[in-house]
Amino acid sequence: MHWMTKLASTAIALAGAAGLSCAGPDESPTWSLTKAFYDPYGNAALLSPANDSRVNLLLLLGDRRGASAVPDTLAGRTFFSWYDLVEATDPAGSDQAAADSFSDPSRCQSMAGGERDFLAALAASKASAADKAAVRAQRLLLTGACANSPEVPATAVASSAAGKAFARYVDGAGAFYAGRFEEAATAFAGLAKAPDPWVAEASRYMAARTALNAAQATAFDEYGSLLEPERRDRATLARARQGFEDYLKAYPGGAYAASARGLLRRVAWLAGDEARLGAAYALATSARLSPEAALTLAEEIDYKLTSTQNAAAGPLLLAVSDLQRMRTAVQYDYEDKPTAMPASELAAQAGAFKDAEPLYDYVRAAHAFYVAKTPAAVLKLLPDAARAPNKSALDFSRQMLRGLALDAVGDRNARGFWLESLGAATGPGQHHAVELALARHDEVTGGLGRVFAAGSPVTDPVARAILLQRAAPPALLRQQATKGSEHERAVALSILLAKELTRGFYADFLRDLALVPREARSDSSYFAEADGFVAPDDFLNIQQPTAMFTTGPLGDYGCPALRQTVATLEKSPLAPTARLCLGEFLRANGFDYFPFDQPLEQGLGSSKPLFPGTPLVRQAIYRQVMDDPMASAEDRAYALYRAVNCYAPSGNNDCGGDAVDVAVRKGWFQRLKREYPKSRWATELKYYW
Amino acid sequence: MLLALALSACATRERPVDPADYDTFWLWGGAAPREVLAHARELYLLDGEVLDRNGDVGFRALRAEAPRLPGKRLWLTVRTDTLAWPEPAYGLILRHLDQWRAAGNAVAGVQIDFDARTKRLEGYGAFLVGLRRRLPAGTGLSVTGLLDWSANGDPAALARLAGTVDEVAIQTYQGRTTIPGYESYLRRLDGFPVPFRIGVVENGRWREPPGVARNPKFRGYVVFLQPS
Repeated sequence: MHWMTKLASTAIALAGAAGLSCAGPDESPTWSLTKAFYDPYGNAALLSPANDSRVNLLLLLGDRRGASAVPDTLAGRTFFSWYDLVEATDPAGSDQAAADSFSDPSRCQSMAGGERDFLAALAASKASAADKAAVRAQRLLLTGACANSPEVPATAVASSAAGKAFARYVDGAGAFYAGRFEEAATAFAGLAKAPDPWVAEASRYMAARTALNAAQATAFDEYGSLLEPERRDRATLARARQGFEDYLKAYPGGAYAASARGLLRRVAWLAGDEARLGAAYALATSARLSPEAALTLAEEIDYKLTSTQNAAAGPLLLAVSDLQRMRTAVQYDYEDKPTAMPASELAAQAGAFKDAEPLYDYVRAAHAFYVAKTPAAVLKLLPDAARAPNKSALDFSRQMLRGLALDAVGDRNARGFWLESLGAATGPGQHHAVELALARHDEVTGGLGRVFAAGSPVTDPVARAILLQRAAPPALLRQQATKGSEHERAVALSILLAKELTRGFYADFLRDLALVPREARSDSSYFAEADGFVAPDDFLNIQQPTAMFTTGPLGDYGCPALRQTVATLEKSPLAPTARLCLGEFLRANGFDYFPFDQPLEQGLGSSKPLFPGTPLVRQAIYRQVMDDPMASAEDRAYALYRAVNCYAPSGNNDCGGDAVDVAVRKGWFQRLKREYPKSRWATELKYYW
Repeated sequence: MLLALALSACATRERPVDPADYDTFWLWGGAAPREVLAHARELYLLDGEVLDRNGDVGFRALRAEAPRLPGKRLWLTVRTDTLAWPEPAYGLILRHLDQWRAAGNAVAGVQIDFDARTKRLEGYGAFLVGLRRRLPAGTGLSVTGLLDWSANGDPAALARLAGTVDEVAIQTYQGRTTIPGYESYLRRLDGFPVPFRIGVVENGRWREPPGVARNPKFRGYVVFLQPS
């Protein structure tokens, strides 16, 4: 993200604190196009409150340029992170920025470039040869001026007028780099009318930079944080601004003009002058920028422009800020719920959007959808243009929001709209976004089969897998276990077998077990590590655990092959030893953390699961066997042993089902010790938890 | 070398953590200094983050300038989500340590807040040994520990860091709330070989578990201040 080393805004620091000890779907998006919270890994190719603000800005800057902000290398993805986008846009740049981030930014960054410019100008000047040599030697001594205790080189002795000016400039530069700003200011002020044109120009630029650095040096409190704007040195900042403006007036195409414009933004930022800062960014975002320049600008704006209602910043930035303020929810419940933007504020922005009507309509429609929750209003604001080709990011966003609103009002042609949209969704990431909308539409309207029908436009393997894992009924899983792509067959088959096994569909399990390819490999940690959240980038590389059911570990109870255990259970579902062996299989293969019995919280895969039955959990097995009079002493002892162990070592129940009171666990422990004192399991168990 | 600094936080009932009762704090970038810090004796100040972003490891500064807090004992805290630090990362931390000291601060040492995605501690010990070796003599090394049962919070795993780190600061909260069941976790710290502090969160529920105060390795509390 911020490889340009810089201070973090409060929001970034907050996010850091919140992430402190958080476990969760770290790098996985929420598979929804209607989410109203910031989803760092869930940016899509359409403007939305869920996107990183920088992504929204880049999408709009891409439209200015007439090209997609989403590089082709991300075209196969529905969702991506900001880092993904940075990396894909400017791979070498992001490497360099990461490396550069370890050097602290300071005024000394210009030491090398300044020396180069200076020496070139000196060589070309009218100074005498002797002066050139003396001044040159003196400038080379400055390299140490940025060290902690710089030595001050004496002023070079020069006799020619030009030589004297260059020598004086070195005095100023040395004082500047050493942080003696008053001295530097005096030196540069005296050189503004120097006869040498380079010295005159550079001195005016450096005079302004000196003022900026002087103001900056006193802008931090004892904790190293920026002071409140009113406590900063605004008089000096005003001098810096005047200096840069004068420089730009005198040298509009000057060697330091680009730097001066950037530093003017810095002055406005340090002064807390949001109006000037906004105007500067309005200008900057109205240009056609290269993808790399857009990236840098988006980073800078995200960090520097803090006001959320800065009409001076122009329609693009206003829209980006508005969308951010339409976040009405949070991704994790420990975050503070945001206060959504009131509609009245949006209405008051009409003037600022007067040259950007389509964008304003989109923003107003987004407010109706995400905040006011009046999807019918969206349909009035955004007319149907689904078939229009070559959409800009804004046009595409408008049509997507229209489609989402059609779904929200239950319009009978919503599905038709999505199908029509597919043809024109040709930009990177656009087709996948429509696929997701269509898949979600089919999921909630009971049309899951259509997603998997021959010729279905929903081809995104991740979206399909989410539906198979979370929502699909047995018949659909069985169908895809034989008809899907190789990877999808494995996804469907492993879920089918897992759910059949835990729901007691033993005959079906034995029949479907024949579908496991002989060459399949086993991965018994899959369910424990899958978390149930799907990161889109490497999904296809993840080995699905189909072979778990034929070659997976069987636990510590001397159990026969799973097929044999299940065959026993098919005949007598409560056979104690076979039940314990089923429990062993579940334990050894990570089923305690099986994530796919629950629907996802929102978005794709959040509908009621169509797989019937209730999953069996280990604790239920143990409690049943320990009280089963038909069970052998060994089986009962093992059931007690395992039941107590469900709570090791933290006291939390890892075996599923409701946790029982510690007194009950103590009872199990004592019963094992009392009734089966000679069993291996009683001997091994030292504690209860 | 570490002082036990906690004021008495004894109470028979759970009650919200009030910073006024404590004198040692974590100060993340976003938390503005407040009156409570006036009586602070020791502060863990977040300097920045060493982060892995799609394989590029870089630094994100969270503090523009060195603090100037003579009279307080400071720890320079660095969050990281990777152990694959490039050499310049160490250089930067050492440079900041110098700058903080040059600004007149008493810097006790460096604290690493490792926010491991994978929750595995493989290589963490070696990483800390490497960092320790680079730190100037007389500079302490602290690490945070999570209060959970992953390897990152497992007392047995943390105990293996004895001899490398000077202290472990165990965080008993997630987000803004105390993690339920902290008592049973902390019970396991009997015989823990590394000096430890207990990190509590401002306004989080807290009751000092029995025995903690008598634990010879207990070095007091650190309060994580809620960003205002």
